[in-house]
Amino acid sequence: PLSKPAQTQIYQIRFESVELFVNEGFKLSKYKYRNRSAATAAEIRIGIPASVLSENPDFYLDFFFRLLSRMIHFVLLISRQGKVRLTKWYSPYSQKERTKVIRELGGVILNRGPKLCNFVDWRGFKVVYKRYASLYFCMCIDQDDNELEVLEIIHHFVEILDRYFGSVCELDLIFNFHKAYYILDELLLAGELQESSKKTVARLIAAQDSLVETAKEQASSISNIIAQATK
Amino acid sequence: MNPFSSGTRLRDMIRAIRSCKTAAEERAVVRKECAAIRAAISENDQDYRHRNLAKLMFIHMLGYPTHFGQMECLKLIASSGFPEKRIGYLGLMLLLDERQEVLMLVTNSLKQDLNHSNQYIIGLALCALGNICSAEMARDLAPEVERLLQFRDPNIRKKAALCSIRIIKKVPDLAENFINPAASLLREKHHGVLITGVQLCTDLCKVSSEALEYFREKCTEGLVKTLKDMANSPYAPEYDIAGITDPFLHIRLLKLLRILGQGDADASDCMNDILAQVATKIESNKNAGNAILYECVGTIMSIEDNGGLRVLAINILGRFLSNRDNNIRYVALNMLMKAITVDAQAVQRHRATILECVKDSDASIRKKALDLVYLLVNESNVKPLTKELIESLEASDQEFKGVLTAKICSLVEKFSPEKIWYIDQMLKVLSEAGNFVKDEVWHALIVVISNASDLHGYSVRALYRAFQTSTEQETLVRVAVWCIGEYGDMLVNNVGMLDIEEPITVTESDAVDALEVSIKRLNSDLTTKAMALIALLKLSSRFPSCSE
Repeated sequence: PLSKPAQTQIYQIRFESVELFVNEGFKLSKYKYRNRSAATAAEIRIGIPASVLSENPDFYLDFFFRLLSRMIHFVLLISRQGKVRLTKWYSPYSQKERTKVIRELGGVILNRGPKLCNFVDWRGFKVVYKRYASLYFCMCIDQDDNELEVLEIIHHFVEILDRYFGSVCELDLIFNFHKAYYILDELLLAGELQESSKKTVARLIAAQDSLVETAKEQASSISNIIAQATK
Repeated sequence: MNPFSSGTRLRDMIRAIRSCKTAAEERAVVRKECAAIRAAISENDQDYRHRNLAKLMFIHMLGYPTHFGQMECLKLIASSGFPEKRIGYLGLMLLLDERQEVLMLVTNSLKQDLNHSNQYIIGLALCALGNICSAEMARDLAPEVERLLQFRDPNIRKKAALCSIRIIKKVPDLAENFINPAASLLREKHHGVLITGVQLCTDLCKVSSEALEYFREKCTEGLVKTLKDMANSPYAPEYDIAGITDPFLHIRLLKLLRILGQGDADASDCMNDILAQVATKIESNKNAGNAILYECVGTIMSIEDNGGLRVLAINILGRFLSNRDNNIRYVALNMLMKAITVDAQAVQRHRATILECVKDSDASIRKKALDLVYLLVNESNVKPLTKELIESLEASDQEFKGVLTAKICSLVEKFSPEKIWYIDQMLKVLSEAGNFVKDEVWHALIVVISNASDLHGYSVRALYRAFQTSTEQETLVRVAVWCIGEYGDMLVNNVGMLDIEEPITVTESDAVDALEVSIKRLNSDLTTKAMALIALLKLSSRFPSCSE
């Protein structure tokens, strides 16, 4: 078992497999994850002393989850002025951490010149970003993930938004942010791609929108008005 | 009375906030809205609950605290109507994170909704669970999700598949339960179900070796066939991107095949043909095609060796490396770093192009290229590589200079074949970027020089020459000053001349002047001045004529 790892060091270590256990009988669920897409599958056990872990067990659990999961960790849409238009978090990040991430990453991405590649190495992760008009679409993935595919996923999302709103612009996403989220939720789930057909996504959203419309109509139907008046 | 139309509408609040000219104004508007919402909450207002939550979500995105609205999410989720549940679940995912205890209270609603007669409500529940559940919730609701993997509607099956991924990540012990249902998903035709099913199998393999063995034995052939069908598929407008049918499915299949083929000769054999087909037939003029090729190369590199395939893969990387598109070059560099463990020689052949990338205008590419070069250095190529890197040093910007200098110094120290070469390289680095050289590094240089007695004369003369031209590099000045102090007599009398050297005339007073200049120059710090003074002291005993 190792002694307490320094916080900055952890971000640079690559694990093949991590078994997080607790010394001295502290109550915490065991977390085991084996990552086999590297050339060799070595197993490393990280023991964190109970005293350290008890200060903030959630931090370590969250941390290793983020480190070892190959997925989209979060999605961020920011304007050129750094205003947040949409955030979706698929890995565990506390509210405080989220604010910090947005500020830091926003700074890095908004400072990138126009002709550079769409990838930025950030804190051991990789962030894929693409600018569409006044908005930057950013997705944070693992170092070993396929960044070209994530570019396609971003484009997939933008095209679906475009079809839904009819030539989407930033204002659409501001005033109808909840609809943008509904669409994202049909596209990604648990940080993975859910549907490769734009037509299917559009159909699902339309069906649900129409359920809402129907409910509105029912609510304003005459029988309801009468029922209210006679209450 | 239409509960959706009166009061401050969401749209109006957003407009009001956007028209604020100062932060204080915005805070005032937000405070007013929050007060109204709080009042509505405490009065248990039914009518505007939906709209109020939407407003709260917007306010939350601006960065204001909205924890008082968390229970509203729960109430909306517990309502019977679809619109309420839709916004309730969205609010839950936005305003809460899994660490909040309030989340546990949703478990019961989730359980009911996972059994709802309206499939869209099942979908909402699966989505929330898959994005935000804690380990306890995952454990509680896993049986429901498992059941939904066989639901009649494919859109639910695909959501259940992804939700299962979160469950097995949170509670790896449950993985075994999902193996069989996941395998069934692989036999489906619906693309959404296939994509998510393949992804579930991939993640199962990472968490459970039992799963890996099962899929490897039972599913490899089927997956190869599915990929073949995709690759040979005629035009399908619904899934077509840049002339390829469903690149996303291609990529996910390649990822799973990679895991199944790794370390297993039979499984690797099974997939050789389709990998070759994909590697040769996919067009690489659009990003989608390149994304597939990139994944294909990754798979080829990871599975058991088939000479022909590896050559194909390295060739693709070579093409990528000379592509004008920055993204492609970045990706190539990334993949080459992994290819080194598999076929170092092949990667060495691309050294020239990689070195070009160290001078690229894109910081991301420069950094990756430098990392790659560092991995490529060995005893036989250290000299030409260092030469190239030092040339890049001259062209690079301040930010990159630091990183590049550190890497060059490290390489030179690790691999230098002769002392004289080491001294030469260090001198070049000091002249170009002395200010970025760390203390340990120039200290080490001084130690090497002092231990190489046959090179004392050479060193001091070379340093003297360098000092004439590059006085702005502090570290160079220090090393030069030290040398002149130690070996000033050799400098003046041309002692220990090597064949390669040109003669140089330095008088005693020249040497002393050099030291004086070091003391007087504007940017000399205390260390430099002190060293120069000590050097003068040493010289004063050897050059009696100049003792004034």
